[in-house]
Amino acid sequence: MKSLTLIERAFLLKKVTIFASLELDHLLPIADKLSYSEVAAEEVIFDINEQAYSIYLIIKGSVVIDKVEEGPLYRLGEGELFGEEAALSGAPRAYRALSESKTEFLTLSRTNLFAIMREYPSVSISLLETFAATMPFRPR
Amino acid sequence: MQALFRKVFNVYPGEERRALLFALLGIVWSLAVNLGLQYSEALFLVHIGADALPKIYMASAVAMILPAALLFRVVNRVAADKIFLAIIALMATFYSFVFLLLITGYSGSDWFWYLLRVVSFQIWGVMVTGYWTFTDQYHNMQDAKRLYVLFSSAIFAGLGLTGLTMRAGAFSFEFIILSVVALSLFSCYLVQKIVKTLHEAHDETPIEETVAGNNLSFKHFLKQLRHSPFSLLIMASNFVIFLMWITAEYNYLSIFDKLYDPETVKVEGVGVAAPLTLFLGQCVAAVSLINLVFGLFFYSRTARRFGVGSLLLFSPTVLAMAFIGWMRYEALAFMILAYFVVEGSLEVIDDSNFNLLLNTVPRRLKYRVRIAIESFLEPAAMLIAGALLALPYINSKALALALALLALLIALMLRSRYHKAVYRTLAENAIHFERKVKEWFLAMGSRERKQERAHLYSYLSSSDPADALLAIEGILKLAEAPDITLILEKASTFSEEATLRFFDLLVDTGFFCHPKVTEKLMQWLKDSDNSAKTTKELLYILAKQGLLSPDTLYQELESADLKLRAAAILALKKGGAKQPIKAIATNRKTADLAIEELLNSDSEEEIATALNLIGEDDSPKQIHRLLPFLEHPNLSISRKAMQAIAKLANKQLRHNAKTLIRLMRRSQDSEFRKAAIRALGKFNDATLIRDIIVASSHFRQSERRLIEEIITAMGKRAVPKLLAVTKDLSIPHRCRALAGRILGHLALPYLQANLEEVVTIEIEKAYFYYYHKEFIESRYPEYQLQLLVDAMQTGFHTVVEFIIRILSAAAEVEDSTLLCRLFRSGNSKLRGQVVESLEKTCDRSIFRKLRPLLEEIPPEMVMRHFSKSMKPPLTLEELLEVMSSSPSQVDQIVSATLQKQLSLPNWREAIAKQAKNNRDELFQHLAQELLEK
Repeated sequence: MKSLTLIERAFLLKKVTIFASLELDHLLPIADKLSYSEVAAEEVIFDINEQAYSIYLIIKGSVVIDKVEEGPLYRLGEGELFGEEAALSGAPRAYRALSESKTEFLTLSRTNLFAIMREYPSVSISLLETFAATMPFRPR
Repeated sequence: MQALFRKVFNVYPGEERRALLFALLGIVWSLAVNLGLQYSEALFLVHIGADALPKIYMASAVAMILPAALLFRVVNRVAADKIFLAIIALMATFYSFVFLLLITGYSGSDWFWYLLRVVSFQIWGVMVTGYWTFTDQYHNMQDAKRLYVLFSSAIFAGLGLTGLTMRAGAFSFEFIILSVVALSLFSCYLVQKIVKTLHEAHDETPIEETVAGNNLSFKHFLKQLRHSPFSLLIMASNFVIFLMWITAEYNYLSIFDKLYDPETVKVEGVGVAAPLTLFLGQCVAAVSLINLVFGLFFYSRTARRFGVGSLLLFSPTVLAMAFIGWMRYEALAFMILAYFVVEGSLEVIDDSNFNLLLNTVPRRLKYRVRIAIESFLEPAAMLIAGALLALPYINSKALALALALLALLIALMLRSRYHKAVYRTLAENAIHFERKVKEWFLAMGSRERKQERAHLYSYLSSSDPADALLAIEGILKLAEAPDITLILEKASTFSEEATLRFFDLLVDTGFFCHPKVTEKLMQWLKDSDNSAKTTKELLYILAKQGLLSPDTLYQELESADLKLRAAAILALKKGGAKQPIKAIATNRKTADLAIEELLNSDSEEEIATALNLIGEDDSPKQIHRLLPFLEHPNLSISRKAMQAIAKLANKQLRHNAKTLIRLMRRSQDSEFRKAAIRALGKFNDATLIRDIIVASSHFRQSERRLIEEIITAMGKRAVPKLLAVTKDLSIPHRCRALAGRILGHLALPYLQANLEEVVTIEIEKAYFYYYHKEFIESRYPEYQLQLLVDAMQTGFHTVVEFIIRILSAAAEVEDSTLLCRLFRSGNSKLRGQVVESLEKTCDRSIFRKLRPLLEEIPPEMVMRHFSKSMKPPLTLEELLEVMSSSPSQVDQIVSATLQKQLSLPNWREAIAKQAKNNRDELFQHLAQELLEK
């Protein structure tokens, strides 16, 4: 497992839609709080009803969102994020996230996400836009 | 009955069920494990003898490696409950196997007793780790201080029951083993019940984060350990304590073995003599009773009163005294004392201390440190102790004494570093929004810095322009002898959009003045391949730099293109340095006229451009042209005006400060406010401190940081003003907290000297809000008072937040907003650590009053503290009157609204009086509305 340096994480973060507008000065504090992870193809990243602690930012690869019995609902790729609704609401995961191919992502804890949203309103707005754009697979 | 249970066990109302379940689980698994271990130990001595003890210590130590390695791999991957269940299931399986061997008669050989002793020890080791890791998921640090000792006591109860069972000698060994299996199954049931019915205390040590393949290798663990000296010290302490434990145990067991000849008495079910079993059973029962009493009644109270640090010294000190005595006199009393330390205080005090100390270990390391200690270091200590004790001519008593003294030394070191370690663990949660690129690099080690610098340059050569631009931003902001040639080479390959962004970066970082940059820009200007937009931008920044002669763009003064016109004006203003003075004056006059024309335009874009151009002027006198635009209805214009003022401001212009503060306070725009703060900073006038801070009550964090920066730059002369603001009860808490924070940076002793005075009043206020929040509704059931309750709740949180901020500032906590933010978080574990961290920042008497407000305890317990020291509660009318003169806007609004809603006598006069004193726009509107209805 490789470990990423702060600068590497900041550069990866810049590729994620909700952070794309931030300058390096703003990316570094966030990058400092990110964990880098990678999973092999077809691995469950999290399952339905699991407690949510983090959001996931896809750096490489793709992730399928499904509800098991209903089949794939959504496919997410590089620069997209998932897991934010449960992390924000504190509710258990309402769907399963499965890696489609070997996938690399960054994770951010919910406590830190809230702090970042308070500090950078542009991130909150961008997150809201992303959230709204992918509503079809969100539980209501 | 319930009240007695709570009082005796230090359990808060509402948590009885949780405490009972964990305690019951502790008794059950402890009884199962100890029945297996104590019987196997006693029967090992009976069948094999004490001479083989060093061998068994070494064998047990080696045998721990496998389960420890397995645990180490899974602990951050698998949920704690699943790990614990798996361990219990393995225990049940093993003892079922032993039972089969016993009833089928395969238990006759020495190997059976070796195997039983070794595996029983393995099971004991992993069960202890499993139980505490599982328990830790459901408790924060403050819970741990109160309740862990109850759970430890439950474990001793299990041990005590084991002693009684051994002492009774009424059961066959087969029956005992069968009981162990049954108790294991009951433990499984209890774990399942806890998982299904209780909520975890969030740690955010996300299993889901690590399951996805974070580095879980042992090498990585060691690397992380290097950065946590306190974790290393905890590990060293446990290692030495365990060495001490084994050595002491060897000393007294050897004596007991001699005193009780095993060849004489028959024991039920085993068929050999064992008076030692009976004697040990007696000792186990006695020591367990003492452990229980101390654990239940004294440990948590002592830990809360004197802190964990003091308790760390107890066992090594007593053991050292016991061995000093024992070396001089072979008295049984010293042996018994050593026995009671090993079986008693090491279990009840040091184990509980360890559970608390573990909370100071960074969360990613925490459970792995526990496993490393319990499953690697302790067996390793056992191995080393075994090897040492097997050496001929070793003086085992002198060895035990030396180890006790070493343990004492480490305990002293832990004690002195404890609070810093708690804060350091908390500080890992800080997000350093205030740090810039350069500061991040300064915070790195030289090797890391070199590596990151190399990363920036490798991203510079990326084919993705976004990466290259971000790399340029990093390199330029880092400002460590940047390779300008390389940057310019890369920039020459950029598209128009990337080139324009590159120009912005050059301007932002001030690097466009660099000779190589200027030369390259001039070269670019001559390049016919540039797009029109790029050329205009180039002209603008070159003119801004004074690098274009006035004649170059003179004809563009009338251009329809605003950018070109602006470039022409700048060239006139700045480009004639080598011209005669008269020509310079004429050019400047022409430029001013052109700017005036733009200012008088109907086009907002032209006005904004003109304001930008004024900001580029060298003369602060130009400020008079900017002031009228500060209140322009178009935000981008008023913002540009304020930004231009921020550029021009100097001390001579400070008579404009009041206007700027007034507008800054009124503005909703962050950029406008930041520009105003920068301008006020340039006025450098300490008499403005109060007004600036008071205006910032609703500002964002980044704006408040900027205020902090400008006031800190004023130096010591700001101190009296800051102290006055911190103490001024008429100023909102948020502002006072900011003043306190800056004061902490500038003159910490001043703040510390006044801390008690400031905090004591606030604690009273917090209790005041708390009391009325809890009880005002029940005192006046005839009224609908939810609004009032909400206001009290808000007031309570505001005051507590202020106290935390002030205590943080006084404790030289690097980021005083951190503790506050973590205290507000939904993470109960973090909140517990915040309370622990605050404990050292104020006098114990203050903290005792403060603790009930910070801890999550039921209202009636908080009120017990209130009733001890506070004034009698107010009537509704009195309360609303007090709120009407509160510095809190919320209090004032709620007071006025409720006076009207409840039609209190003379409400009109009261609101009118309030409106007279509170000139805030929002309140004026409200008062008018209320009085009109």
